[in-house]
Amino acid sequence: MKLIYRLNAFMKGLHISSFILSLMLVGTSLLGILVLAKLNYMYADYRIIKDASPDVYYLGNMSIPMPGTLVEEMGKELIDELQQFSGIGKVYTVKSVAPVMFNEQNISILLYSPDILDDFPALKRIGYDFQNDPSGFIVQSAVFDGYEEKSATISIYKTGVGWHDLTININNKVNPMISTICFSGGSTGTMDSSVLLTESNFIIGLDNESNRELLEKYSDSLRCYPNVVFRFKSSATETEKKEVFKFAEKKGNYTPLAEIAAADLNLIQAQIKSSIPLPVLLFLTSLIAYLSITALMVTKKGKDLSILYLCGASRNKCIATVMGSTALMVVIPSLINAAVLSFLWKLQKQGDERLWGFLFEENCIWLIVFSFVLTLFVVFSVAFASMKGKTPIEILRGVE
Amino acid sequence: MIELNNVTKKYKVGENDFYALNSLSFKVEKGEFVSICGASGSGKTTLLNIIGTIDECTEGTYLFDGLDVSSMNDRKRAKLRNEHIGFVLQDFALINNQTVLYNVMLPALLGKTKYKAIKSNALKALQSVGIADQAQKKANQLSGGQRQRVAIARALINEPDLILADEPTGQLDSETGKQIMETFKKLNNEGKTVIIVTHDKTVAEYGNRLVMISDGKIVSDI
Repeated sequence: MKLIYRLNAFMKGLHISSFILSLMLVGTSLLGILVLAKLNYMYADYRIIKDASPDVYYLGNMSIPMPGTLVEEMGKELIDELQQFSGIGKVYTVKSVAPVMFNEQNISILLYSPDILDDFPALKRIGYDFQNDPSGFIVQSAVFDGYEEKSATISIYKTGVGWHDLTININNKVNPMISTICFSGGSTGTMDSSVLLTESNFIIGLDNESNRELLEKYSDSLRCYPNVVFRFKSSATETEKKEVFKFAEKKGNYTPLAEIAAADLNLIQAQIKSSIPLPVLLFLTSLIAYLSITALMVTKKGKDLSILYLCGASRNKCIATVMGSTALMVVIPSLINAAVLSFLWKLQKQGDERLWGFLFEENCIWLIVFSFVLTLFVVFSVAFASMKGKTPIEILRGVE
Repeated sequence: MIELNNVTKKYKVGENDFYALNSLSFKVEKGEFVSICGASGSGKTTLLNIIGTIDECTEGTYLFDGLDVSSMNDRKRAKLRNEHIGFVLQDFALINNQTVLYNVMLPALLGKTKYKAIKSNALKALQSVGIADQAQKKANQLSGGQRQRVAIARALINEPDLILADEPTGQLDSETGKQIMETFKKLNNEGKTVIIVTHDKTVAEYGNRLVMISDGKIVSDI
């Protein structure tokens, strides 16, 4: 209390400039955070694709006249056809099953082939892992918000019975924003990994025997939409690949992932080039401003410091007073930024659509810490350097 | 209370040494009122600064109540200054854009006393010098005499044993200067040790001991 009172009094006359400077740091850091979050978002998408196995292709948006009703059989014909090509190494499906309800929300069930996690290892890093319980499900934390239990009850329509409750095990909850990036709904044509799968509110299970058996019970009411992923043999020739592509074009849209990754990388680089200079420039400007105000404080408040010394403050206490006052100008904006980031984080966890296009990760906290430490280091260095050469009596003589 | 033995203070001026104080020895007993007189540049302010622990001697020893100040570090000297010494300077040394109350509270804010007690002590100190009603005014809104009273109140807030005054009436008219000196006399009568540096004979006469200083040496001590 006494210290704050004293520091506040010491800053008298510099309050307005300090306030403007603090606002500047808040704005600069927030801009930096938003730019970083934007890059995080783009990079999260890129990371999924760039780590994918080479020569993996996704065949989606297939025009199937009547979606099948048998989960196991769905897509089998297409798989068989693809497997007849000599260049094909592996073919598997990712099935979307609907209608399913949870907590009065429409959701879908995605059935993954275990192969997809081998071809897209980055998915494991963001929480898509079934090792603990192959019959368990991965859920979006936004859909299952507030659910801390290891199991949840979903409802599936059963002809003649109506909505029927089904309890499922939950393996893990994944960040909805990451899920949204990877599997955003209906954004075909965009150059991101959303083309891999196109569902929004979903739960994901493995396309294994126990899950298929579970869903087969509702086969008369459930609709199943297959999407196919195929991988070439490493020995596949260009001619063999061309034959497969020709076939794939007839069946649906196929997307070479290498092209998506390259386009993603270009976008990220362009984003870095266009968005980094402004916050860096603003940050440098605010650093210079902090530097100036600290130097100003030492000179303009030299008299106050000498009086403080006269009243019984040690030399170190005088230096600490200057440092403490400048630190206040850095600490307060950093706390504001931390509070804003925490608020954005909360919104992100809730899947707030206003944050679409941004991904707030740990590096955003590190950005605040970095700007805080760097600014503090600069102002402390200036304060210390300005006062180090002066003896207390010299400071006092400045008054006389 | 104060004992300076062979104290020397020298400065480098170009390549030469300038002796502000030259092997000076000086003792002050508790409750004394000492006036230190001398021409400009004689070393009287340097002597006061050393006694007040805001400057250090180059050679010699300085004992304050038996404690060796010359061997103390800056932090210890600051603590001694804060708890036992009050300053009153010619230019008042007040923070002009702060209130009178804040100026008086400042020495106590550096110590361990609680804020409420500090405020109450500051008001009492202001009352003792007769300007409690000016507490909320800015220091630069007061007259010279009032400002010097604020400086005295500030010097008193930590109830120091020693009050050091450097030309306390230098910027005041003779009537106000007289009132200020009466205040010092009153404080001395209450038991405070007072050391005043002045070149004004009238001011020096308030003391019960007169020390004349010239070229960094004491030339007379009556």
